[in-house]
Amino acid sequence: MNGAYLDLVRAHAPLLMIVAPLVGAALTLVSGLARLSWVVACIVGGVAAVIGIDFALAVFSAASPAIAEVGVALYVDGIGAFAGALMALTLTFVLVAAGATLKEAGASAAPFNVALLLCAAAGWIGALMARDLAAVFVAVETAWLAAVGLTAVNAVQARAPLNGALRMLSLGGVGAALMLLGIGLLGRAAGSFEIDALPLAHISMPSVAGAGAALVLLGLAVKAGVAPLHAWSAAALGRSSGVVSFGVGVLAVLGALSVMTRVSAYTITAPELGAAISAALAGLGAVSVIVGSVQAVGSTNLLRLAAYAGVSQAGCVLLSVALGSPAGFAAALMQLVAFAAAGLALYGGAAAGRVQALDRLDGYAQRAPLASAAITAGALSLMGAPLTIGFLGRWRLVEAGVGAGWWWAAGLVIIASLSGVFYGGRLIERMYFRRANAAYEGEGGVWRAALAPALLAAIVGIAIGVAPNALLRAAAAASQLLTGLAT
Amino acid sequence: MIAANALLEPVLAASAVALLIVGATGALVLTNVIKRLAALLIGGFGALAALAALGAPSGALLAGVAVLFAQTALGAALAVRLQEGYGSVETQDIDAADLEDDTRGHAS
Repeated sequence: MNGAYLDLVRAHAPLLMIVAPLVGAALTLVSGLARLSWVVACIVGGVAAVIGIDFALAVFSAASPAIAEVGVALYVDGIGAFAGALMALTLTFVLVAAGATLKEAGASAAPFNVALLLCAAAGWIGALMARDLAAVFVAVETAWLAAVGLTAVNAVQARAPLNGALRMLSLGGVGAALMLLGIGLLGRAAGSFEIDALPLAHISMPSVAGAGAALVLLGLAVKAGVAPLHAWSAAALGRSSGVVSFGVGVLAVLGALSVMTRVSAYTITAPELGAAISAALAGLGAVSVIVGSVQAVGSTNLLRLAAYAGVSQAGCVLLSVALGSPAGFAAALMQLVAFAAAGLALYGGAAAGRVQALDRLDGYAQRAPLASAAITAGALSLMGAPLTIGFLGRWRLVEAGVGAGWWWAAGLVIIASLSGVFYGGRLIERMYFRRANAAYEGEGGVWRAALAPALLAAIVGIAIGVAPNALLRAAAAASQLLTGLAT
Repeated sequence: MIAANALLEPVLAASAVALLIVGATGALVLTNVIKRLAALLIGGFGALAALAALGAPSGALLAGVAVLFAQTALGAALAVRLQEGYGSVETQDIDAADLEDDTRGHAS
């Protein structure tokens, strides 16, 4: 009997990964109580993560799973399965970690916070599983507007996040309009609005299709905070609460980058579009690496530093995708995992002591050794230090880039890592080699346990760096499986 | 009739794209939050009109309308919160207040 239920869940796994967070969001709003809504959200996030990981494992095993047809046009490919599972797992980490800072905007806002986090995750996972480009658009906008709402709801202790939310809405709105136009142009030129039709479509007007694909990717790049389209990120994250750091700085950026990787994979493999899209992504990636690195080096605020380091990391993801090869897609997926681990560790460590300005990190290791360890692991991963997942992702990019003759891409990776040594090293020096100048402001009680995900993410980041084989195999399998499992 | 339709389609599409460009420019350049929201709406209408002119299915158009509605509702709520928080809906005032908050934060 239980086996039959399990089979039913497995057959509907992609849909459940989208629906479970949405149902969870409704339940958290109904519950009304801060702690109850948090517990419900954590359970739902955990369920989605288990379903997502089980499904991804089934997809990457030799026998592809059967997916039930339920009238919803889903299209699960390797990148969608891998990134969907990563999103669901990151959501669980974010929800558990958010518990520690959930009440910063007031207890009455807590159910809204977790509901918005769940809606955002459902949106990104939906975009990773959608077949139709219009469905991708709706899912992306659902997630983005939830992220804007999350930022605005948490502008209580500081008003700056309201300005960030405005920038997110303005830039994201322009991005949405461009994306909609791009979908129209791409669909018209390719003769189909279905994403899986793009690589095989006979494209009658390559220039129109190219413009359409570029606009779609531009709309997504705004949401991923890729430079020079990242004007919202510092404003939204610089003085944000822990919930916003996790929900926007990690979840939203990870989701947008994952969707961008998926859409790019289909457009770049279309023969008429490949070269132009590859050049555009490579250019955008290079600018993002340089601008993000320079801004991170100049930051005096830990949250802004983490946001700019994310911009640089997003550039590395785009460079990997621009290669247009399975090795490039695999490198991009590895870097998505590295981004999630480093982001959770850095923002989690900062949220533990409510650290924003860098000078509050002085002597942090004496006041909060575990939070300092998490920040150190995140910083080492951003540097691309050996035996961390950050090194693994960048090494795969160098390998794939050199294999394709893109030596300049390897040079950019070195620039990203060297600047990481500078700003990451500055964090470590402040935490371990300076005297404390402020009291620790972490919360006690049950909420302190909620800071465990930051440490766990740090441990996972190092564990994968030491024993990377399973993840490397999964990323390689995902990158090979562009022809998806249709429902 | 067919020739007229063939001629009309690019004209409609070009007009819609022009509307989108005007709206997008306004959303990025205007300093008043309410005007910025109006510009976003104009840009969104331009994108929808372009989508219709390009022969997109009605589902895509409906999705676009729903997103535009949600965006406007959220924007209106945000404008109210900005007025409450900053006492202004002009972005120069808001940016200046944030800069002041930052400076005060560093000083303390």
